[in-house]
Amino acid sequence: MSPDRSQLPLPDPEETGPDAVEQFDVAELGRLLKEHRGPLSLRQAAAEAGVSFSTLTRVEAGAQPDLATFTRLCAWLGVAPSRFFTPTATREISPLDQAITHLHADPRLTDDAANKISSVLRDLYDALAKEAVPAVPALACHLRAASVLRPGAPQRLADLLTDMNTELERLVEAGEL
Amino acid sequence: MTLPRGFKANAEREALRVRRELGLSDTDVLNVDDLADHLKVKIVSAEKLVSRTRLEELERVQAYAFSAATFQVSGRNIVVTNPLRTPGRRASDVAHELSHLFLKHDLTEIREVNGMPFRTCRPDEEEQATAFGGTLMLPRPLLLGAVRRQWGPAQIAEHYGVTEEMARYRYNTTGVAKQIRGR
Repeated sequence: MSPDRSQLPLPDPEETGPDAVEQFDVAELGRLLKEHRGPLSLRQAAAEAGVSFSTLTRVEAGAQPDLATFTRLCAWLGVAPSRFFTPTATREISPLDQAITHLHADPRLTDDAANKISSVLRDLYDALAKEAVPAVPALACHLRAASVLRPGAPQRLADLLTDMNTELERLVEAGEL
Repeated sequence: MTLPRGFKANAEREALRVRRELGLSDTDVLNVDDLADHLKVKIVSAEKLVSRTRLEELERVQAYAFSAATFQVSGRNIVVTNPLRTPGRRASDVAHELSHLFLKHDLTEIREVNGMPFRTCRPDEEEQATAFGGTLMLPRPLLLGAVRRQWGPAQIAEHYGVTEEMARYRYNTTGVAKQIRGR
């Protein structure tokens, strides 16, 4: 079976933005298959999953399956297909790395001076660059919450808001709201 | 951050217009639930969606970390409130959330909470919603009436079902006390 990316679901550019692309984590699929198969032979596992022996062997080894095989394998693993799609930015060199490269190339700066400026830049970047547009689709909501969240609060708040949204969607769909 | 020129005057006019639509006088108490009904916006307490224990846990980690949110689900706006708030604070929160809808604030900003992105509105629009929410609850004519009765922020808050913080904010920013003293 030849890997065919065109058969895999493509990200919606409206949702992910022009700077993002979804990456299919084929290695993770292979790892999970091996783990899920456990003591079963490849032949037994392939029969269970409803795919051919050779397909399972290749996918376990890191080959990309076609959409039909991928769907069957996800069903056998009991995981959502979306699990294997990791959004990544298409930009390979970060602006910070670019800036630091330029600093080190500047003849007016000694290595020590370039390192010092780079270190300040890195700190500033770490502190301020977190508001970059993320690649995963976002929940839409006006949020009235503390502007600065203490350790432990962001995780709880994010989980709560996500669960609230899911439950609201369920209630609206069930006609209970 | 400052409000756009003319924002406050427009907010006062709009607040009185909304009150007339609801059949209220300029000095009546505004019930935010009636206002939400009028706008066909559903208000849901967060404990109907998630367990109260989880909300209490977040409150212990950080008080006031979560006040309210307006979710857009299937094209509908649903305001979710925190059941741990006082009625006054809930009223302020709901007025704030409804203000976003009045002011047609788009969800264009991304705010990340623990890596989970939320589309929300711009910070200056948050400020506008707070200002407009306060104006809806306590428009100028209402405050002038209260000051004539020699009420301070605490009495205004109690009578009109808002937080003392909001009453003080409106009392101070509208300059009503100064206006009465000047007469």
